[in-house]
Amino acid sequence: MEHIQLHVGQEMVLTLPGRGTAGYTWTYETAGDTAVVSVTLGGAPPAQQSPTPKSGSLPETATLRGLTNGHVVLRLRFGRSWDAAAKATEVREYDVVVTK
Amino acid sequence: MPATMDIVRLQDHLQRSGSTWSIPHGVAANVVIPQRRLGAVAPATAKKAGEVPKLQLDRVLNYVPRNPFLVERRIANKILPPGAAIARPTSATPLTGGQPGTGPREAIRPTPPMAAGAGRAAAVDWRTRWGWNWITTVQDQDPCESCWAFCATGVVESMVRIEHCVWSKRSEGDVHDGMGAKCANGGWHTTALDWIKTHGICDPACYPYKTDDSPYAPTPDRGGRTLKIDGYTELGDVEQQKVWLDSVGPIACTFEVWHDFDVYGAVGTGVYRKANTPDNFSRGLHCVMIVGYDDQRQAWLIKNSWGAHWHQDGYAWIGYGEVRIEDWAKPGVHNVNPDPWTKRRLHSGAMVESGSGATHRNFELVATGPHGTVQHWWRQGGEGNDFSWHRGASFGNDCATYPTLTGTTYNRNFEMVFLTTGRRLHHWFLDQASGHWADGGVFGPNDAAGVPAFLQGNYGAPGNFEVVVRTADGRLNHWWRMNGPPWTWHDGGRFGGNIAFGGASLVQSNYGTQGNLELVAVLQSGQMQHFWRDDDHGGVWHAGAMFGGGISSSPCMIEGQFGAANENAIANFELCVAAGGQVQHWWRNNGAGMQWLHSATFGHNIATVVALLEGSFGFNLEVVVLRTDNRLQHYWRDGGGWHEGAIIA
Repeated sequence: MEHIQLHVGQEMVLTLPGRGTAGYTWTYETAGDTAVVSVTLGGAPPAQQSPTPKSGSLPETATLRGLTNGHVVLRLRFGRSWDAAAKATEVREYDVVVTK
Repeated sequence: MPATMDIVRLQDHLQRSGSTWSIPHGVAANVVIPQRRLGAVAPATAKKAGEVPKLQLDRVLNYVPRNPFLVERRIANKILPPGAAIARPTSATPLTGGQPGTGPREAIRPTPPMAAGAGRAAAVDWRTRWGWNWITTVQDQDPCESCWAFCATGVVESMVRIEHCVWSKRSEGDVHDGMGAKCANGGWHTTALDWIKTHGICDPACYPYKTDDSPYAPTPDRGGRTLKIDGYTELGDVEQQKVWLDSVGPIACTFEVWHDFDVYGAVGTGVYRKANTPDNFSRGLHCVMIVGYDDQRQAWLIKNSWGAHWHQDGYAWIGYGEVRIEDWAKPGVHNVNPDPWTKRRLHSGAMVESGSGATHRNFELVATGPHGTVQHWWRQGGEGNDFSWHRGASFGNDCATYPTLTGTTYNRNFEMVFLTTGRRLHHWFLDQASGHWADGGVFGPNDAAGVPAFLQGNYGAPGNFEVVVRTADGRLNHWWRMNGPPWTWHDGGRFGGNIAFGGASLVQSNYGTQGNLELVAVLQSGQMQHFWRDDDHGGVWHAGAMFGGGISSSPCMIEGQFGAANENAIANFELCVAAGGQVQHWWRNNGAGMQWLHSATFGHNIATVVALLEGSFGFNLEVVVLRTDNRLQHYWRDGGGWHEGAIIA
């Protein structure tokens, strides 16, 4: 498990591999004091978007923002969210601590 | 190894590397063996729709297709002139007693509903068009970025079904790995089609789809089991894309996958239209097939490659103009050239439909000639309404009965086996590279007695040859040849009893995982009996149902396409046999009941049936008979019943 230290109001962008055109997406869940951080899933930063695209997936991001003091475990799952029977092919866990 | 390699260089390489692989005989020295990275260079991007000028579709599609539905749609869309219907060489009046059989599985194709001149259809769905499915099952690219290979392959597969009326599963892995792509590599459908144009595309048993980036290693007979295309047509104009879908077939497209597409895939209904919300974001470009459209819904019908669990059995509707789906030109394919492996179950006896001719549907017939010779005949595929028969080569000197012909994965060679005047079996093959018939040698029992059944099966690659012939003791004798060195024939043993006539009635069906061998012979009682070999459980021959009566000639049998809802289904058996101077058509519903049923009796002055096939002419059955005056005549069955065709010779 990786450790992330954030201050209140601070943002951190995690860049994640994308496989959107194969039906994969990132989802997340938090455990612990879930109010200490906000998580926003998003697309690739402009710098990583190909100027001459071809079919294929773009990187994706998870943006973390510290909200209040506390500790939370963030779990990012990579899988086919529309397929209930499918297991996540990758799980990333972060121990997030937010301080003033 | 060099990027491309012919047989001679490959043999040299194998010898130097100490490999035990062998190169099959009959493969021409100049056949190019595909290697990884054959030089297909991915373009930086596909053509934008606006870069492609509007086409004159009547020039692009300047021939009459043989699927009667397509003819009607092309007339309706003014691609073909009114009256460009299929002409056949004789009267289209059905013969007495030639009405189609009964039962849902035997139903002849429904009458095309559209009137000529009606214009473009307002909606098209190739999954259910005219009551038939024309689309292979939904596949899954998981987890690779190989959508571009899947949609290109899917378009080609559907065009084989539409243009040649046969299911033909092709391998997405062949084009993907043949191009040297890795699992993580994106691409373009047009790049895949470029590669297929140069190298063809083989079936999954030749080389499967894999996701582990392992080396590309198709079977050695790949050159003989690839479907070929002349190229593709890029359509930039949206109206022409719909006309193509209406009158030709599915096309490929590219669109942008957004975050909310996953939500739609999971729980959405109706037509997908992107949510314009701040939390929505692009996740990349995706290639899929378009298999229809609906002007009322204002949407394209797509076939995705994320498995059948995705959305509605793998399909979805995307609104016109959504997610950049009209930004890029959409390629379509036509006039595809299927391989003999695709058609292997669709013919028996002395005739096959080959890939020769401008529209790849010539008939090839071998017949007995004077003094023990074999005479090769061929028929035009109807281009310019030319169905004339032409005399080909004559060869051999010991042919006693009508040969049994097939097309094989040896470079698409024609191969035949016939009974010799010395009561043995003789193998000949047409080497496609040289265009000459070659003597494959004499083999078999010393007491062969009748028309042999002959096919290339799916044991090994190239698949073994399998022959069954009646012997003088009234039994059936199975012989087989493993198609590797030293290419010797083996006696597979005798089975059955009281056999009066064998015949070209052997099929390797798609029952079981390996595919059972199925055969019908005529008993001394005049009844027919079905035999089958259970290839998943020891390869033991079993005697099956007896049916019919009063038969005194050899039958021909195929597994056709009626009853096959998709490429994995088991289709009906069709059998034709002469009795009382006429032809009896029998069929077995392999979807339910599995009973042999007598469908029709037709024709006159007929001594024996020498060939039966289901070809590219709208699921028609085609029969060649030997008449009592020793002449050959063609009969066929279409939606109107059985028809008397030309006297060939």
